Amino acid sequence: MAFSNNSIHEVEKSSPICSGIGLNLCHENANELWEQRPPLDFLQVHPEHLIQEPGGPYHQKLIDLIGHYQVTFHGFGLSLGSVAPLDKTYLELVKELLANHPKAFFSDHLSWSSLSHHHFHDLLPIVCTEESLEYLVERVLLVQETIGAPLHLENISNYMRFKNSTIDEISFLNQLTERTGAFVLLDINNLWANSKNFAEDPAASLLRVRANSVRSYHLAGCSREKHKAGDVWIDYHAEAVHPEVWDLYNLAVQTFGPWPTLLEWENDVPPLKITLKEVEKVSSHLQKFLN
Amino acid sequence: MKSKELLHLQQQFLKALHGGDKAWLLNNIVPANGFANSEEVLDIYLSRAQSRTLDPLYNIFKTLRWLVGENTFNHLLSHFYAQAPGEPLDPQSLAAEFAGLLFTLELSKNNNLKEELFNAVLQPAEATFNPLHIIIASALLDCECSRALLAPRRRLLCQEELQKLLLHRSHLWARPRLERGTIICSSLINLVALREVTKQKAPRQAVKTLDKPQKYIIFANSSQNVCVESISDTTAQLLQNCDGTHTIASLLQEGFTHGLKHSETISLISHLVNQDIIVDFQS
Repeated sequence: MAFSNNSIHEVEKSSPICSGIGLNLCHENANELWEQRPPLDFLQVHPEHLIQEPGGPYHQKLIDLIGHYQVTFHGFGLSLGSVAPLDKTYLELVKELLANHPKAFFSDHLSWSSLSHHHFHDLLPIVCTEESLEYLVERVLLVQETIGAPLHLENISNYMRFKNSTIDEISFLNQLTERTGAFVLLDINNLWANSKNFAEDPAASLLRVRANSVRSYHLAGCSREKHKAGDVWIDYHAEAVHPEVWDLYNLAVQTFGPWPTLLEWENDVPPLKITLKEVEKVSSHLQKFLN
Repeated sequence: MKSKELLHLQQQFLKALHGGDKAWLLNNIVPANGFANSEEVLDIYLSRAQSRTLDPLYNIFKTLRWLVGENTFNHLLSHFYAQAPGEPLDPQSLAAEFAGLLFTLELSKNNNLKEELFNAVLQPAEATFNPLHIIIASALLDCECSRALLAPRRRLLCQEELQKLLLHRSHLWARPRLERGTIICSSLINLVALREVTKQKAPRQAVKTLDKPQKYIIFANSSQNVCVESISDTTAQLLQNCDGTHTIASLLQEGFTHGLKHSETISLISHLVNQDIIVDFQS
């Protein structure tokens, strides 16, 4: 069932060929992207959309755009931390997509979002203990075995943790990737928001991520919400990237390298030209590093 | 191996989501700094899970929303969520479950909701129609429109190519098929008028009912728009057989039993091709 040590090395060698700067495809930007086809290094596509909408106008645009751009596949329904069995049909779809797009990689979140046939459409945090780590190791290995490629694991934004957690999130992620050969999709905004929300140093948190595990980045906007006891940074993907997140991104690129970077804007999506300006900003930050 | 800790966490979350005890979660959550306590953060997660599950239904049930109004629709959704046995990943399945719930409302013990629904449907003074039937018809119309829109497309040939095949010497052995997700139904509600007022966002008004059942077809055309059209009984009968098993020769015979000459049946098939209703001649 699990990968042997040799196959983990095979997985590590097969790092994604896809590179550069990409944008997420969503219902709100599909029309403009389809009509304008701006130059992008890659487009991020959710495999779930192919299941939820097997036909219709969005599906047609999605298929056209997959044919036009280099793509990466980003799941939100794998529910890695769920105790229910993995959805084999879904994983077979991912395997097929990866086979058809050899430069693509598949990512999903270190979280849970469903329990059996109950889907919560949210990324829920897990209890981080030795026991849950063992379980997650098995699940990640099984996913990789099924899709035949390394999984890119994204760190989520949390607004709560659990008293019975005995391992901090970054150590948990580090151990999980080390034991499975999975990579990290480092969401800079999530890491920053979590650090702010739990009064931690974002840079220090970032530097604790295992260096050779990071293979891709996400950047997104974060909203500040007023709550009873103060402000909370919510990972809402509805605005431009926060200046402090850009600083953290620069640090990430210096520390881990210029891996494929995706700009996510999924709520209150502005006209494409505004999103593309953010994409240009990513480019200029990367350029600074390369110079 | 299974993780007992994750299992317990997930069972507790599911229980809390459906109105069960939250004590274990509240005792174990460490909220982010801006939250006053664990209850505040847990409520955000719970309400987010609920709203993200139900949100797609607002988009799917446009006719029903128009018919009963936003407040009553929201009450229906809350009732549905409390009763729902699960939250499927696919909104289409959720929509089917929601429409299914409406069939059981008459037996529901929630008299307040039943009364609210009965009062929400505007009817002409002389109407004898059970409002619940209009509600169910609207919900099914929404469900079928959504299904027609999102079904994978079957069409491989354009109208002109299909018309050429209809002229081919072996055309009698072609087997006409409809687009996937197409449905032929019968209703005492004027579904065309009902869909039109919803599309135009017209003010709420009494729904037009009919003296006898009318046949309708719901399908997605080649421009990816959903069409609701009334059709004659003969056309409906003919279309029921356009499932890829009956040849045109068989349809000609079918037309004959309804008093159509062969040329009239061929002409009807040609018309249905031009209407984007017949989209394939499986041979």
